[in-house]
This record gives sequence, C-alpha cells and structure tokens, in this order.
Amino acid sequence: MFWIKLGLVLHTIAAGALTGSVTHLALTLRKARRGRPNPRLQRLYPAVAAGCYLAVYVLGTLIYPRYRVEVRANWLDDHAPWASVLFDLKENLATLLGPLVLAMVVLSRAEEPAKPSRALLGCAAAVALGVWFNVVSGLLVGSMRSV
Amino acid sequence: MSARARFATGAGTLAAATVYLVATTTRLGLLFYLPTRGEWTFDPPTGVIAMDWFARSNATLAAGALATWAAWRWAPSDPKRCARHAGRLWALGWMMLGWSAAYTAMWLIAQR
Repeated sequence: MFWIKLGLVLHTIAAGALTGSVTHLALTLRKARRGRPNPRLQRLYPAVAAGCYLAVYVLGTLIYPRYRVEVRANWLDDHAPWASVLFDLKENLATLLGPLVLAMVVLSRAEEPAKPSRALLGCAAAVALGVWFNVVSGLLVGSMRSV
Repeated sequence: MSARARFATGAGTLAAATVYLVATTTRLGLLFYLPTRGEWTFDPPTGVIAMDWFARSNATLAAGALATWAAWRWAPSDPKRCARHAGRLWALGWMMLGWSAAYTAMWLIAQR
C-alpha cells in the first residue's frame, strides 16, 4: 500500500511538472514565431517535458492494475460510471500524446530557435491541451468520495 | 535538417496513430493483463478483469519511435521533396490522431 501511494504521489508531481514545462514551451514558441525567440528555453522545455512524460507513464503503468481492481471494479463502475469512462479516456489520450512528445524533442533539436515550425508549435499546443485535460480528469476521478 | 526532422516525426506520428487505431478497433493480437491473477494472456477468460491498455499503449509508442527512426534514416535527400512529403505526413498524422481520440471517446461512452 505504501509503495502504491508513493507511486501515486510521484505520478502526480511528475504530471504537474509536465504540465508546467509543456505549457511554457507552447507560450515560448508562440513568442518565438512572433520574433522573440529564447533558444535556451526552447531546448530545455522539450527535454524536461519528455523526462516528465516518461516518469508519468512508467509510474502510471505501475499503479494502474491496482486502480483497475480496487477503485474502478470495486467502486467506480457501480457508483460513478462517468468517472470510469473519464479515467479510461485520460489513459488512452496519454498514449496518443506520446508520439507528439517525441516529435517535440526531435523538432526542437533540429530547428532554428528563431524559426520554429508550425508542426513544433502544434505539437506543444496539442500536448499542453491534452495534459491539462488529463490533469483535471485525474483530479476529478481522484477526488471521488472526498469533496 | 529541419525538413528531415519534420518528415521523420510526421511519419512517427502517423504510424503511432495508425497502430493505436488498428489495435483499438480490431483487438487483434493484443496481449491482456489479468490484474487479479497477475497473468498475461492473448485469450482472456470471460468474467475476469482483463486490461488491454498495456499492449495497445506500448505498441503505439514503439511504432511511433520505430517509424521516426526509420523515416529519419531513409528520408528523401532533396530538402524540397522532403518538406513536401513532411507536410503530407503531418496532415495525415493529425487526422489519424484526431480520429483515434474521437473513436476512443465514442467507444468508451458506448460501452457504458
């Protein structure tokens, strides 16, 4: 039980760092496309986001089976089926964000910081939106039976 | 360099989204995890909790990484041609990603 709780806390911390880094990246790239590049941050944020994504993914994988049996099957499916659907949607969306995170890292290394492509900005914006959706979904499902 | 990167990542995104969608719609060859038994199986028994997310997710990420590497390696050498194909790959990749997300949402809601 202790290790599962610890995994959940670390999963949450990594998700928070991922949200911050990728949101800042999207905003930094928007500025860069308007003529105000920041080469250091445009290289740093994708690397931080990729490390956080990996941590969130691995930790989430470790705690997912426990959630599926103890939380979803034993409680959510009977009392709040909408929360089960929301959680599954979040997990699958996280998978679909994976290739975009990889693309962000590759493109940010290959492109001129002064001229980031629309593909890179699109990746950062899509990952930021997806991660925000996942964080809010995780918070809603995790707060069931609390407030 | 930039066109080559866009070509490679576009191919990776398209491949990952395609593998995800095929795995989700067909369930062909998916390995299921049975969390109550701690076992893996291709043929989950009825009435037992079976999780296909691990297989689908890992296959999607592996396909994306592999396709990115392969497309980087075998990208067209002409930068203009590379950029033209990169645009097409990204357009298809975004479309498949959107379709995958929409299909997943409808599939999950329909299951309830």
